[in-house]
Amino acid sequence: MIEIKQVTMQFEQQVVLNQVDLSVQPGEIVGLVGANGAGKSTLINLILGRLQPTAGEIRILGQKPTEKEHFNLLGAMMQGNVRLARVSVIEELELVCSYYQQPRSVAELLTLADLKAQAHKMVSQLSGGQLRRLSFALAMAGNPDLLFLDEPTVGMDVGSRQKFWQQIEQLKEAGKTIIVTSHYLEEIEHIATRILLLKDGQFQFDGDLATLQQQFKGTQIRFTTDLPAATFAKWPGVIRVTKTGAKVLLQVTKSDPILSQLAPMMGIQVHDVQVQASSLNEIYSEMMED
Amino acid sequence: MQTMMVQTKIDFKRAYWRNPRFVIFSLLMPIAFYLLFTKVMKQSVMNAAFNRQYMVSMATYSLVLNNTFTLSTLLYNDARDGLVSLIDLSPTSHRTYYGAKLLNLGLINALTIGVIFIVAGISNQIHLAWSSWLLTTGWLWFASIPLCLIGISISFLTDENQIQLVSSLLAFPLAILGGLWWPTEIMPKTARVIGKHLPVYPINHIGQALIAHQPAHLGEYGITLLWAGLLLAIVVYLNHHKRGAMHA
Repeated sequence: MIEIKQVTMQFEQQVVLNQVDLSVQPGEIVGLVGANGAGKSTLINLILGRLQPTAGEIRILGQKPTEKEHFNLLGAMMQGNVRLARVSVIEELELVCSYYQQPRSVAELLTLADLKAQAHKMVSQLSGGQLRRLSFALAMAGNPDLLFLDEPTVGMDVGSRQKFWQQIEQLKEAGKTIIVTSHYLEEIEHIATRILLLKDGQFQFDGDLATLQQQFKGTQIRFTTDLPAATFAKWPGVIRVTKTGAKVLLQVTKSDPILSQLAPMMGIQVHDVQVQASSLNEIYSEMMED
Repeated sequence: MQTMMVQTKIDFKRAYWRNPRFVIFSLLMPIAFYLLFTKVMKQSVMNAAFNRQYMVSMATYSLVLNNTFTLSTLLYNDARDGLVSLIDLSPTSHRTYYGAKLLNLGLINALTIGVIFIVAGISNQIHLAWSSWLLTTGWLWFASIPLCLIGISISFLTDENQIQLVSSLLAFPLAILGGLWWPTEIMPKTARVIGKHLPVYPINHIGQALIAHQPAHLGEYGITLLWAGLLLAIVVYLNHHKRGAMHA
């Protein structure tokens, strides 16, 4: 679906992407993660042909990004909303549907974006969350096989976000390919089959969440104790100790050796031991600090 | 084709039909000026010839406002509100987008000329041969091309306040120096000379000649064509420059 070879993107002196390679296969749900300014939107804009790379080659659906034909097969929900003045929701959808060879029906899009009740409302009167849902409907107008979602849920309330991700789940089940960026990492963690972690202009990680958890200090051990934090800090395999009152959180590379060391203390000095994999959020925070 | 028709229909609604600014400034204001100068202030001015000439002037004035203000704002807003980006990410082309805009503008220009002519014809009993009506309408419609290109050029500005400012700074001096509000004869000689070489004067003057069955100077057709060519070059340059900046 997408092939990127040795792509570099430089804005004046700043290198945003540095010799990046990427191949996205049909049916993948790729979560693109990185700090603000890491180059996530730049990468999407390069793939969509809205920016020209300083060096390297990009192919999308077998064509150059600037070719128009493949746009019948892709949809993009970018960060900005399309907010036309003096146009109703239904008219804006009708307009954008007319751009595609085989569009979805306007009624279908209204249902998809949960905007039936706002169909005849002026777009300028929609709330921020409703505008995001409209942007999603616009991105789905051509019934795309490849969908780009750039910060899709910003401005949506909790209910709308849940409904939105349910829709994305259905698209995932239908075999669509999706590239998504979001600051809500728990959402990416839930939906993505593949995670790309972008930092310093390169992918620091490319794989699924389980591999990421293994590779990047992915386990946490929680317990309560009266012992000082320093007791655990020098144990091999312990990366970080956080102690709040009696609650201790150990960030470890592997849990088994640490649990063996904790075993003699359990029930005496150490209580309520819990082991869990780090969330994407925690790994991300850890990596961004490095 | 279907894209163009849908876009034309929706553009008509949002840019003209539901846009009170267009209705007030581009349509009602020229009509009000016309009625004011030909009916209310009748004693101080003139005769049937003036009524005809002023009808052409106000139709031209409406075209100036429509093309500089409404078109530039519409194009700018489409870029600001994300429609142009959306088109970039869809299979439709910018050619279709601009085609629909021009089709719409052509219809609106013809409609505003028609409305002003009808109001003038009825209110002042202007009786002309069909050929005069049609020739003058046709000329004004055709000669609105340079005005349309001015509107497109203005739309490349990157700020709404700049759009309003530049539109005002161009439209009103062009209207005044083009003799739309009052005859150029009462202006200083330098202003007259400058005015005659700007795009609005020849449009208006040829229109007035056509409606009076008088021959127009070939030079005035030449000035209109020259402006059309020059403004087209400016639009092409600005478009190229903008795309270059986008890909830089």
